[in-house]
Amino acid sequence: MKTRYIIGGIIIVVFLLVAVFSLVNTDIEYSDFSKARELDGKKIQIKGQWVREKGSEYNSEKNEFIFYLKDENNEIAKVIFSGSKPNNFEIASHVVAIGKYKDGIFYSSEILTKCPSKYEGQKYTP
Amino acid sequence: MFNFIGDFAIVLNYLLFITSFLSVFFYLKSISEAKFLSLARYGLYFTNSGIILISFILLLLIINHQYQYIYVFNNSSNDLPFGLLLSTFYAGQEGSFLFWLLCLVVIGIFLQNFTKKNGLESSVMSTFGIVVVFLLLLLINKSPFEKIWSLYPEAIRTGIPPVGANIINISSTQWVMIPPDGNGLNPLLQNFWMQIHPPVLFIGFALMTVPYAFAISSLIIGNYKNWIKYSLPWLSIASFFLGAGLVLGAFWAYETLGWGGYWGWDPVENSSLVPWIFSVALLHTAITQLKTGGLVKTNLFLTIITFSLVIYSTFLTRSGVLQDASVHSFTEPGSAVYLLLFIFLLSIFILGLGLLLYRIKAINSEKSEYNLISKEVMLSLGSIVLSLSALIILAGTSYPIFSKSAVDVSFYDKWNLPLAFLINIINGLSLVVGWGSDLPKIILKKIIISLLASTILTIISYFLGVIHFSMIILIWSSFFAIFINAEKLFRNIKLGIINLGGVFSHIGVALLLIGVIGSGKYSQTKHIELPLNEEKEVFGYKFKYIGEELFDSNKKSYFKVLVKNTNDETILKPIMFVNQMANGVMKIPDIKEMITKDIYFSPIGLKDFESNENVTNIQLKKDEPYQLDDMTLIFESYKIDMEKMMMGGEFSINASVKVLKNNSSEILNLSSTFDKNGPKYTPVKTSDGKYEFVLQRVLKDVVPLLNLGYVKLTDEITAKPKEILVADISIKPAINLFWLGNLLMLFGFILAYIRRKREVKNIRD
Repeated sequence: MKTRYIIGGIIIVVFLLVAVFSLVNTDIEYSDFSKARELDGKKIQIKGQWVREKGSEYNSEKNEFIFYLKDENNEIAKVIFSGSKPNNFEIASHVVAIGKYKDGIFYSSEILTKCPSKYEGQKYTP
Repeated sequence: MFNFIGDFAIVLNYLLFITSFLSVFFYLKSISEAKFLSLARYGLYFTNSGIILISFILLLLIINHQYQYIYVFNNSSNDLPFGLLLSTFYAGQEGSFLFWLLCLVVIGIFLQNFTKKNGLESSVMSTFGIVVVFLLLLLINKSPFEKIWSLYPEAIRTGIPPVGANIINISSTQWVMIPPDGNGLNPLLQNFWMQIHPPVLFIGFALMTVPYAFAISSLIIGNYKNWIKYSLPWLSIASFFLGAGLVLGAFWAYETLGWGGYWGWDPVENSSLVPWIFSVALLHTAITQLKTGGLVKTNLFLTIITFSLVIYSTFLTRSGVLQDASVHSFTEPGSAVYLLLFIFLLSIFILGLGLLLYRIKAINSEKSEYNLISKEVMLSLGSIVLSLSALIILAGTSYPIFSKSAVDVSFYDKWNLPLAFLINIINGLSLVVGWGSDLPKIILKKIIISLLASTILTIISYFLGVIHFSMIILIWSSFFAIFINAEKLFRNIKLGIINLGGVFSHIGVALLLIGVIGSGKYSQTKHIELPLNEEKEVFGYKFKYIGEELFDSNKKSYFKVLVKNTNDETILKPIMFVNQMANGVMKIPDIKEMITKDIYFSPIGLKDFESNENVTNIQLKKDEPYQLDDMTLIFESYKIDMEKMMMGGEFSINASVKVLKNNSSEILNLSSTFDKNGPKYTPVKTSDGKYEFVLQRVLKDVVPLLNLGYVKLTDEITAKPKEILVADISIKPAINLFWLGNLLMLFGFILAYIRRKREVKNIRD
């Protein structure tokens, strides 16, 4: 009876330790371009703003969307996102790009757009 | 009248908070002194009637389009059909809390009846009432009856109102204009599956309160034996609804969101998956208690954890703590709701755990002698593996709260793969071993045919493309589970289908895992461009874009795509439209469904002016020169039709831009109109015919900003390119096994519910 709980407990503790270890290893840190350069090739996420003045383009043959992102330290880098222009891209107050930094270009596999006002209570403009 | 009933509902809400609180108090008192029972019941009846009345009021406001209420304004509009209009009741945060309460009321009526017969009314209904008290408190804080001017004081105006405008006088000089139309329902939610997904999930959430109430009741009165019997039918039906809610959400995502999947390990999805997995684990250990009298503490603990995680799920998704980690748009409800939800969560958890620890010495499980290879051990192992899977998902989902990072989705796949394998093996073995003990030799005899058959099928699937080691192992274990369960099904069908809920669910889970292997691991996607009337071949099918067609009284259009293979021809109708409310382009895929696979056609864009790759976007500041090649552009003035914009109708934006080139200058008068369906641009060329401009938007900042798009018109590029439909085409093998597996699994829950309910009745009779 007691041994059952002890064995069960040990299994759970070991499992959780390994889980936490792997959690720390697969996490995608919120970062900026300077940190991204250091981490070279590790998957991270960068929160920033689209540099409107530099425009954006979509290459439909390669299915790549290219734009410039300014991170929170005001550093600007070119982002190549493998996909089409994300929903709400123009009106997003900021953009989170998830991907890897390599040779001055941020290769993004996923982009989240955050809208300036939340879904509720935004539209009534008296 | 409509202005008054909203205020009435708010006052009633406060009153109900008090009566529900009193009802809990008197129910607790009535455990020792029966004379308080009638007072407690009056409190309960009053609260129940009040909540029904409040719900009715909200429904009335929605049906009558009372847009002076923010909730109605933000979630509905005049053009919604009746069914969708009803679904706006729970489309927003406030309404969904009310809906949850309404579910609790209905469940509470049945539960009171049920517990009255079993003599558990006082202890069960007091616990149940605590949840109602908290939700009423949340509803006070997030009321769907707030008026527009309470959030937007700038809506209050003085002076003479415009003729014919629908206004409310809020004092002798001040008035507010009632918007003639609401913002409408998020277009992504305007779908049959999305209409039923949230209520089903909320019914599941509400039903999970019942097992918790039974557990707490048993701890209060100190009878740890019978509660599990009473709890089981409720737990089965709660697991059914929560599971069905998850499946409906997955189906909706697959059918409408267009990214090609049904599960993305998103925090919103995960947070309801975790309590569901725990509830399933609990179902298994509960059966052990029912049969052997063991695992009492485990069951109490798991029940408390399951319900706490339901509240935790609400906390994660409603408090805004996961803002940055999810693609779902969370609401920022303000710190009061955050705090309330947090207190709610802590109270539920501490009440349960505290009572359990307080009583832990007094709880004695039946001790029985059993072998390592026995049903008890198998059920416990199954529950442990399920709990581990849930813990992993919980850890990954909560991780962003404690660190400035998020977890890569690969984390979930990596961990759940071996766990899914174990679940399959235990799924099968648990059926062949008996209670008490069994000899390994006998077990082997029972499973040898299944072992052989699953190995043969695995070899076949290898040649069909399941070539990765991890997938081979997983598919083998799934086949193994299916064979053993199928054998059991045929052998025991004479016992009556009601007793075979577990077998159906087990087959369902194994089938859905095979579906995941096919549609997840072995799905392929190709990005293609389809110029109008040109045929292209992908995955052995010929695709041809044959033009756009209008529908929904010419407000939307779909692309007609002809899909052909040797013996069959289908037209797919993916949809794209601009929606003002969601501030973007809505893309709805279309799916060619076949028995063995789906072809998933997800539109990405139509190359026209806006998505023309030759268009460059620039931004001008007012009165500040902008150098474009050899021209200087100056954004001189603009005009936005504010009155029309406010009324929600079509409105236009005009802007004039001065173009200086060499020594000549010209003024470009740009104009675009916007309505519910999005913008209509009117391109304007420069006098030399070399550039074409469109006005995209004007941002009214301190210094106004003008967004322009332009195309350089050279010999090769004309402003109107040939229409090209850009799309992602995916092939999803075995996706139907995933849906079929889910249906079988849910069917099993229903059978379990009927069976457990009968058992309770038999005991009573």
